[in-house]
Amino acid sequence: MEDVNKLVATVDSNIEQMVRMAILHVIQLGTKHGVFKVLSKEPTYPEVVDSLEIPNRALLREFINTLKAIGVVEEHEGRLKLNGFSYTLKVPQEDYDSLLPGWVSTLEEIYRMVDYALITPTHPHVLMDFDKDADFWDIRMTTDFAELYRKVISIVAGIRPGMSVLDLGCGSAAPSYFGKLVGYDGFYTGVDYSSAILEIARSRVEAKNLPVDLKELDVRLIRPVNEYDVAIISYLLEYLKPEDYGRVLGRTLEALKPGGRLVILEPFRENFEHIEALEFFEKLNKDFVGFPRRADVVRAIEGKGFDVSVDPIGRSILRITLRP
Amino acid sequence: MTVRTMMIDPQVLRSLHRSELRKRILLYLNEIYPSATYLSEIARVVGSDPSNVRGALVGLGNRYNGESSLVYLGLVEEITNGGFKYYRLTEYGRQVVEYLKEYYRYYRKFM
Repeated sequence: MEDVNKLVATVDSNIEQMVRMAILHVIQLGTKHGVFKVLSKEPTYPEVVDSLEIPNRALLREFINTLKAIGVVEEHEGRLKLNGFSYTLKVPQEDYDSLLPGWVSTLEEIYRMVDYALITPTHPHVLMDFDKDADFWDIRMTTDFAELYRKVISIVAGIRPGMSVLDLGCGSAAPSYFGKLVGYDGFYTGVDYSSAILEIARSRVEAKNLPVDLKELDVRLIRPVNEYDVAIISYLLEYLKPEDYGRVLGRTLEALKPGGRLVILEPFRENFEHIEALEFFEKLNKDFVGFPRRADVVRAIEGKGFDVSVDPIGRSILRITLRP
Repeated sequence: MTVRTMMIDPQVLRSLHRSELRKRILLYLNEIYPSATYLSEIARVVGSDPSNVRGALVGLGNRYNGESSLVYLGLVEEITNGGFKYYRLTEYGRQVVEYLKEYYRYYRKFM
C-alpha cells in the first residue's frame, strides 16, 4: 500500500499551491481593473465603488473584502489603505515534486469567469452553478487532484470490498469510484442536491452496473435509515453555514455502525493562510459559504455527545471513529 | 473513468452536443480510432454529403465557421499521404468524446 502520509501531504501541498495561485490572481485582478490605483488614494468604500466602472458592485465589494482579509488593505476610520502587503512565493523542491497539473486549468477557467462576473453574476460565461453547469463541475471532479483525494479518503477510511458507504455531497465522480471499491458485496449511497450532477453520476454507475444508490437531497435534511461502515464528507461543509454543521454531522454519525468511521476532507481554513483568496473565486457559486474551521467541526461533533475518537490527519482531513 | 489533465471547455462540449453532424463524425472517428479515414467514407457512414462533412471538419466559407471546425478545435487531425487527405481523432478528441458520452443524458435533460 502506498504511504498514506505521503499521499495526505500531497493533498495538502496541492491545496496550499491553489491558495498561492489564487493570491497571485487576486493581485492580477486588482491591477487589471484599476482597483489598486484607486486604493492608493486612501478612499472610502463608496468612493472605490463609485470611481470604478464595474457593473457588479456586489462582487467588487467582495473583492475589496478579500483584499482586507488577506491583509493587502486595511480600513482605518472608514478609509481603505494599501498597507504594503508583501508575499514571497517560494519554490522548494519538496513541495513542487508533488504538484498535480490537473486542477490548474480548472482554476484558470474560474479566474477567467471573474471578468465576466464583474459585468453580471449571471453572465453565460460564468459556469459555476451546480445544475446549469454540472459539466464544468464534473470536469473539476475528474481531475488528478480529485482522484487523489478520493484515494486518500478510501485509505484513511479503510474502505474494502463488501463495506457499506454513505457519501454526503457525493458529486458526479465519487459514486463510480467508491461503488467499484465496495464491489457487488458492498453498498454505496450518495447524496447530492444537484439533480444534474447526479444525472452524470448515474450514467457512469449504470454503465458499470455498480451497487450504488443516488439520492437527490439537501444534506441538512438527511435521515439515514441504513447503517454504514463508513461515511464520507468531502468538499461539502463550505456550502453549509457553521450553525448547520452539528445537525448534518450528528445525523451522519447516527448512521454509522459501532466502530464505523466518518472521514471529512476539507481545506480547513486555520491551516491554510490567505485561504480567503481562493474563496473569492469559489464564491462565484452562489451557494458557497466559506471553508470550514477544523475547530468548529470538532466542536460540532463533540456537542452531539457521541463516544468518538477524533484524529486530525495532515491539514485537511479529520477521521472520526465511533467507539464500539 | 480516466483522469484528465487537459482542460475541456464546457462551452465547446455544449456546442458539439447541439451539432448532430459534428457529433456523429466524432463518434465514428472514435469507433475506428486509431485508424484514419477519408472524407467520402465519413460522409457515407454519417449519412451526409461530403461538402457538409468537409465543413464540419475544416470549415467551409460562411456555411460552417472554420473556428468551430473539428480540426481547428484540435479534436481531429488532417493527415496528407500520397496526395490524399485522411482524418483521425486526436488524443484530445478522444477525451472530448468520452465526456460527450458521459454527459449525453445531462445535456438532453438540462441543456
